[in-house]
Amino acid sequence: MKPKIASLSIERFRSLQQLKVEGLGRVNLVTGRNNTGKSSILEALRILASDASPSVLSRILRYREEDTGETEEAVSPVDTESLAQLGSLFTGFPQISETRAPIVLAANGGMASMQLTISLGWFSEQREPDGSRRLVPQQPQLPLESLSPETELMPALVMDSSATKRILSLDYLKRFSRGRIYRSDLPEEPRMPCIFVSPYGGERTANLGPLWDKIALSDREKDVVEALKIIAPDIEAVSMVGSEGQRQLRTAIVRSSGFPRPVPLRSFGDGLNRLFGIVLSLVNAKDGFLLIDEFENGMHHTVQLDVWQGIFRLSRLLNVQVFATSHSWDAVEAFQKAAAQHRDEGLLIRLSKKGNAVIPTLFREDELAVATRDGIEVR
Amino acid sequence: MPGKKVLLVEGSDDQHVLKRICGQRGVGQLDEVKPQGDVLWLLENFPVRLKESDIEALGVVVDADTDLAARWQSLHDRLTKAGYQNVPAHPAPAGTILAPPPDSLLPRVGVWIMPDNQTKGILEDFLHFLVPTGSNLFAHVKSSVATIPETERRFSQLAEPKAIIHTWLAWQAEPGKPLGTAITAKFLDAKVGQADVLVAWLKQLFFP
Repeated sequence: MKPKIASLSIERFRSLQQLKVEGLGRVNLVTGRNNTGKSSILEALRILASDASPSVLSRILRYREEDTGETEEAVSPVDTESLAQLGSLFTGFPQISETRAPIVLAANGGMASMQLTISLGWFSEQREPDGSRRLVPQQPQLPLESLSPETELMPALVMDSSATKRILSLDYLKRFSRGRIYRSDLPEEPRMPCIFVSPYGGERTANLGPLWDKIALSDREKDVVEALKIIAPDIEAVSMVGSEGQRQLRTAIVRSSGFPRPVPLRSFGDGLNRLFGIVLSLVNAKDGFLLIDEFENGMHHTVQLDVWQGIFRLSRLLNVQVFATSHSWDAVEAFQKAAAQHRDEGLLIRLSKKGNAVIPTLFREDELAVATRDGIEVR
Repeated sequence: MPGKKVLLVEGSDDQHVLKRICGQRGVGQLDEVKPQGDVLWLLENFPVRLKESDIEALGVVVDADTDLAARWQSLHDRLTKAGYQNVPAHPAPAGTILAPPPDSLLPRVGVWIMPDNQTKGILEDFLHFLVPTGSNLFAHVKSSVATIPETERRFSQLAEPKAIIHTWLAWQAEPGKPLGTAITAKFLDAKVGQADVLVAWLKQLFFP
């Protein structure tokens, strides 16, 4: 089966001025030193796969409830800090007033083709005769400090995909993050499953409740248990207790031959919890994407090969394309070994900085086999 | 961090000889002089080596064997595929050196085809240059090898220089030193003028 996307192109997003990767595998590991843009690749994929959904964007921008004060007292007409975060999506942190070429994200080949441009602009809200509101583009008045406190101008992201054009104002994104916008208000949610496992994903099992509910009692539940046995062979069953209404109270518990009654998954250590997060996400990403940031987190190097093997096996079974990042030598080495055993499936992408440019170097599984055999440093 | 300097060679004889020459001629410290087993392994590893992280200069020393043009072509193809531009159609007589393509992470690459980038042959053809000139003993070695009765001659024409060098080493004050040690023991002289071209290539490649 072919991977969903065969090529990925990113322009002017975060630190990636221009990056093009062709010949993607089913399981892709992105490696490289700090600040080479590993995580930005995952962010770009999240934005693309969700067709720039506000929930994904606000999570990427990290607009959280505690970020901004609840007081409506406006010191400045525009929240400069939040504005700076919008700017941080673009290479070189442009001021909103600057005219810049937009971010262009594109993925092609295989079964999915996605393209999206993102630009930054000023808008004002106009009320239509029928009472509806509409955002109208405006020329910015410069400089920012000179805007009167009564200004009605608002910064916004303009998302343009082949299907739709959407304007997401900064205000909207912030309100969205604070939970003031409810699901029913939203445009249609993405059709391409894309599940992101954060570097710390797994330890807060409360987040995993909704994922668990989707697969509980299905064959996928067995896949999860099988995968957990990679690290803890005596595990017999897993479940999540607590109800949807009390999300914070949800906990994963396991039945193990080592204990007379079910025990919290937490008590099994970081590695198993990380694996639970990864595998539960993987089975939920059927026919879509699984993104794992900092794969190796919490995982002892002795189990990494087995975990990669599990990921290669399950992702093929469930038709999931996997993108993971890592800067750990152990994780890369384990990936090399696992990839060498799965033909035409694995791709290692090393990102390196040269000046301001980020250059990808690709290693397919036959090359990874050579590198492993000959001790060639690929990380 | 300074980049890595790696020299790939076919076998351990090549490795020891190149290491001794680098040492005796003050070429400088390389990170690795790595034998690849044989030329086929070397050709398979070469494209992956070009992508090794932080590699600054990558040298390759191979034997021309019976077909210099074919050997060059196999390297030429891999270099072009990796992104090197203007790879010459023939190896440079003084050893080939290619600059990395702009805006790439590829290393500076050097290719030396034994014995002299111009003729067929092997490492041991090159080692003949290192035998002190005008040696009567060497003349005797050569004529002895040449006069082995046809029915008793067990090596191919290509391997004859190897037979000669090992015979030469068998008849020294300490008979039977391996190639690398023979250079240290001065049975082969790395300081002769004929080695200058190789040394200049190594210096220009690794310490420009």
